[in-house]
Amino acid sequence: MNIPGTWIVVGVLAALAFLLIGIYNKLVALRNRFKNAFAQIDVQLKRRYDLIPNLVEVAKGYMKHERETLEAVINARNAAVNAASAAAAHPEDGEAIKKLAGAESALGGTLGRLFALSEAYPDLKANQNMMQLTEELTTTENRISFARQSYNDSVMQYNIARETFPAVVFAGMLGFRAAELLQIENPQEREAVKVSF
Amino acid sequence: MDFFGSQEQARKKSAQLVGLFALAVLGIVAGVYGVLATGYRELLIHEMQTAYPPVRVVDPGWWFADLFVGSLLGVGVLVLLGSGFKMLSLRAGGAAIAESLGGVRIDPMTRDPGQRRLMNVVEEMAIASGVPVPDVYLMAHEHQINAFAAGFRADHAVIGVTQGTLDQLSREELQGVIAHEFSHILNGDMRLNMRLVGVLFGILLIYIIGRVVIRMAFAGGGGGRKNHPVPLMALGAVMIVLGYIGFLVGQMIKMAISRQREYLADAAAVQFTRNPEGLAGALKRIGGASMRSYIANPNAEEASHMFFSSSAKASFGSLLSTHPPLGERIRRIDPGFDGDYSRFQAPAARVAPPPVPATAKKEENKGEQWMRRAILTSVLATDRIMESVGDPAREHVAAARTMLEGLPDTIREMARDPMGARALVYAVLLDDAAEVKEVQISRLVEHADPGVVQSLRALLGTGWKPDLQLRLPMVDLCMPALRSLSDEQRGRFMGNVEVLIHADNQVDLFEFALQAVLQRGLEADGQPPVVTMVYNLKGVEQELSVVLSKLAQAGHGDEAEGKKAFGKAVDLLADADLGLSWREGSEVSMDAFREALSGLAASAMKVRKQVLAACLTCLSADGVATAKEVEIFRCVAAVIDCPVPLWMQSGEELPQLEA
Repeated sequence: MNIPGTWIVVGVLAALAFLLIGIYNKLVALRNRFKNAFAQIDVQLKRRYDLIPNLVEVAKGYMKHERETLEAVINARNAAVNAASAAAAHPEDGEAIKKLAGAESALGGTLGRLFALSEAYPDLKANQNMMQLTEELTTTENRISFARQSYNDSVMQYNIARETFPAVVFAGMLGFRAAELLQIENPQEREAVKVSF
Repeated sequence: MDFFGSQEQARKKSAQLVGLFALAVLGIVAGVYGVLATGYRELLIHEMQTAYPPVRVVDPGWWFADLFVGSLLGVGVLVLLGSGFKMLSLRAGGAAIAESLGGVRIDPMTRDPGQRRLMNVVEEMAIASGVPVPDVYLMAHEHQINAFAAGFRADHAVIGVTQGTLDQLSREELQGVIAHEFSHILNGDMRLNMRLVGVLFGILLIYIIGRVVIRMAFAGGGGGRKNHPVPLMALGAVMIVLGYIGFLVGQMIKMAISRQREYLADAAAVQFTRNPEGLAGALKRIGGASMRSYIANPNAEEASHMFFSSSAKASFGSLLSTHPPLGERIRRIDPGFDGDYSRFQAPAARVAPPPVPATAKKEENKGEQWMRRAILTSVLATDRIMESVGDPAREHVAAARTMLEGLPDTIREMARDPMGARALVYAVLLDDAAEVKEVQISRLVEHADPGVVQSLRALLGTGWKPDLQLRLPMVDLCMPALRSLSDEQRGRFMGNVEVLIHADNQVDLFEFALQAVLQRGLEADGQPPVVTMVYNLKGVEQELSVVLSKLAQAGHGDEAEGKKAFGKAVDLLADADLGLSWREGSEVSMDAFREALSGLAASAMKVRKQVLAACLTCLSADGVATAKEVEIFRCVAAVIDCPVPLWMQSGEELPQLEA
């Protein structure tokens, strides 16, 4: 092999290496993005569980005749917390995930009822703490749905980056597998409560 | 709205424009080469024609490799130099920019309901866009809807939001605005813009050097004939023309890029929120506001590309505006929009409705901004001169600013309310002498609105007395509220002010300045502007002598000191070759002083700038600028229609007036 030939081979190899490095880094960045988005969903679910007892505590002072509803909210919240820890312990268990989804929707339903009832208590609506808690709950609901949406968007970006040429040639070799979108089996089930006053 | 498709399209378009921008730079190289090659070709032909022994004249052709490499390198080095320099000066982090725009960082743990909501929305959008949570700055003095993102890296970015945004937008609309800013951060728009500005500055450098070359050619023309002045001049002229055209074209391309990035950010905002109504609602509300999204802070101009919506009225039409037209932005999100903003005039009223000046039409136009900058430059220039003698004015200005911020909340609230604002103005006009004060108050009881008198009484009851040097700035603070008075109320108000001023049978400088400020601020719409009569300092010699003498006497105890101060001011203007003469105290009565000021007010902006610089020098000649002197200065500035903003920050970089 003559000298210029060697240089050409070296050049092509170097270019290939750079290309690979670029693809690898881009895919890693995108993968971390959707992983982070997934972690956010968990964080925010927990945040919501923490907020609810405070909310009930404040509401109690004003809604003396709605004891039943308030208790239902607390019970639903406790059930959801249990389901969540069970699901976290066995993430591969489809049954546990399903239970969590059920508990979440029950919690959403009772919270919705609580807010509907609170319409009848102007004092409660004007309460500074209540307003703060409502804002916090709103933002948490939003964060949950944004995290889910961000997860799906970033999974989509990751998959597009993975499946387009030239990355598609190397992605499998480098160990980047296709990621799954989060599917909501029954859309109403996980719909965020619309918190409004 | 197909928000992924729109983003793709905006990205593609802005990439094409960046390519065009690069082509423009290449065009400049080609231009420089073309001119050099023409010259060189002529020279070669000329040499061949005049050679001895004679040679056959051959066409040398158009290709000279050395020349091409030379022009390529020359332009390249200039552009690199220019952009390197500019980037260094623009490198200030997001926090520094936010602070220069009057922002104050919001505590992430804030308990204030409006700010809490904002912080929550920011965190939501951080999750939605996958960008780290930025610091958030509140521009508490801006009552229009606008926001910006600053900082050149996603992990050091900041977001700034006006008070108006917090007060007027619903939660969903706020989400749209914040999501838009997150897109700017995510897409690195601030970095892109900084690079373009850098290259543009490099192109401008070609123009500047062209001017220097021409000047050198002229200067060298008389001396040795060896350094061919004519070719030099031609080169200079070409550099000027190319630099200028290149700058203009580059500027237009840059703005076009900026507009594409806005569309991109809008589309991304819809992607993040999945709620087109929120963003569209915010834009419609801006369209419905009489002051649109304009920002009062004078530094906003430099940062105009970072804002959510135009921070000032575009001066050269759509080609040079940083943002696409509002209607077009809305239609891209909400194609059914009919262009009728009238339904969106009322704010979504959340916390407290801000004072939206209904009659304010041209609060912060381009001219005013330029004026501010001009003043700032002149003031800072004297600052430099005074640095050698220890410069107290700077700290003073800063101190006054803190003081204004330290005004009691009740006072600040009063200033925002039309009733309270009137009461405040009346209060600063009340005389110290009890009998005069009584006359003044009885006049008010008879002629002022009962509500205003009531709030004045409440104010006096608290025993509050405005700081001497805060009186004028405080009136500035009241201005937006005062502008919302009806014609009839305003007439009554101005009448009362007139009577209060003359209650003690004399008009002092502050009273005079106050009246001038109020007249200009409240009645400007109907009145013709002061006609400029004088275009150089020479024409206002007499007036300037009177004003400077008066200032020197007011600011300095004994006459010798006063004369010295006067001398310093004269020195400052030495270049203008004026016949300024010292006037004795008896010659400069208040009336003469006022008359002189009115004369100065009719001079050209440039002249007034110099006048102010001289006044400042005169007042701080002894190295001590007292509160009284600062107020006198402000009054003079106000009367000659060059208001010196109290919020000016002396420490910062000089605004660039050249270019």
